Amino acid sequence: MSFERFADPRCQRGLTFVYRLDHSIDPGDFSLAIGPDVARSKQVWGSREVQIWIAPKRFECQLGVRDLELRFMHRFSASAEQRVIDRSRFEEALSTALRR
Amino acid sequence: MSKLKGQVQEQGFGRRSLGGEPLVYHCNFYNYWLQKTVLLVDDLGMEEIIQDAAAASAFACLKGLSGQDSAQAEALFAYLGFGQIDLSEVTAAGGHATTSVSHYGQCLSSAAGVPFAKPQSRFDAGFAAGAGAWAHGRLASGFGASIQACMSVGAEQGKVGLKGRVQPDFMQTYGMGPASTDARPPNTWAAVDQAAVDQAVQALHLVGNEEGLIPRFGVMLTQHFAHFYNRLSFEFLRRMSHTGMRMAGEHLLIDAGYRCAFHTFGGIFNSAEWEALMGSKVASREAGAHSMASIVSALGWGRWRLVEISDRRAVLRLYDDYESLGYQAMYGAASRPVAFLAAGGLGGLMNLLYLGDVLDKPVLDNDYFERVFEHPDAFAVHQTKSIAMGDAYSEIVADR
Repeated sequence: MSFERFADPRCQRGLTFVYRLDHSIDPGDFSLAIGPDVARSKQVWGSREVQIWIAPKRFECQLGVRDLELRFMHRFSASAEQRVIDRSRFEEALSTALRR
Repeated sequence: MSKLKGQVQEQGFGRRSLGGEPLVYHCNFYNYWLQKTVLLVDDLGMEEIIQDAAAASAFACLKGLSGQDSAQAEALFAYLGFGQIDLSEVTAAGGHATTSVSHYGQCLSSAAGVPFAKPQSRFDAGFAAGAGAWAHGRLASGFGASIQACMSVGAEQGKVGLKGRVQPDFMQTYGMGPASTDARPPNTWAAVDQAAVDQAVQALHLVGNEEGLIPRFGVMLTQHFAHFYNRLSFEFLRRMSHTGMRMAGEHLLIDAGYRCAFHTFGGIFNSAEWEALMGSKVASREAGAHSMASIVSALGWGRWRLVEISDRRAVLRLYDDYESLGYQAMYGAASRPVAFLAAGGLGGLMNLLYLGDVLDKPVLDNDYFERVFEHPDAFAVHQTKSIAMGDAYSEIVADR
């Protein structure tokens, strides 16, 4: 395992998780690992370019907001069961991207 | 989900409008606390005001946009961050609307911290009434709305019943209202380029996602109708005045602003978005205050400028603050200042920075709130000038 997971303690309780990575990942590798059904886009936040992946009504991932950090946010619409499945899928994809 | 036809217009002093209606960003915490505040006194009749203010705002905004159909109204609800609403079962005679995702139905619980005993989705009910009325050619007051199910009290989805009604006297929105004066906000801190901050905030694309929600800055944002907030605040105050409790009403509205500051500003200071936007500019409390003022100035609240700041005192000037402009447009000249949200916001900002060391990223829990906001040496705020009273700008002093 080369990441650490923290639940975001603020108001979106239970929805947002922060993943700290021990080395950077290539966004392309993560895209391949998470799968083609998750849409990728990017936004410019100040001086940073943020890569965003969205599985509609299930989850959103943000890479590049902070160095060596990835944010994973469940959507309100996702059921508890779906959230478990999605987070597992996300962590698997992250592990794959970290190995490349 | 249909795409909204129409776009937000950026106007002077950071003011923003859609369909001719001014918009301001606020989060789930302020939405919770303002609603809770105006409903504190049972017999003021504020439930009806909440729904009617939502109906009037939605109706006016849709009227200002192109397209007289339910799809446009559904897209508007989502675009502004209120969730997803289905108006397909509404006809000119009435019917019902459902919400599968709702800011008011689902996102206020994290602000309250406890389960709700009563439905929180009065805004949704009003929106459904106003939007349904617009889509089916009725007057803005054309539907009465009743909450039949609400996710805030455990329903799987929200449901609003609509029934035709005739109500000749109905509140009007005021559109963008008057611009204040030709006074120019001073540049108070060289490190902040307001135009660049405006641009950076715009680039965050703070509009509803595919669920119709805006989860950013560690909170759930809404792009809300300024008319809605102003109508709630000032009608609450007017009704409190009639019972001889105006001062208590003012204090309660300022307190809602304090709580907004704690959660919204606290959340922003702690957020990844803040770090990305402000980077290394925020090396001191004073820099933090100026930077937050510049962010706030990009949220439709008017321009915030701190013309004086120290660990004992701050002076904030507001140019085109939405509260003062809204009051003036709705009621004419004010006899007392009316920038309650801003006053509470300034006090909260100063307490967060100078008592709460918020730049060190503390955990923003209830213990922290009590320690900071109930500190014996906390900042107190005084409104010293008001656009609503004819001044060139509104001014608030925080000191201790």
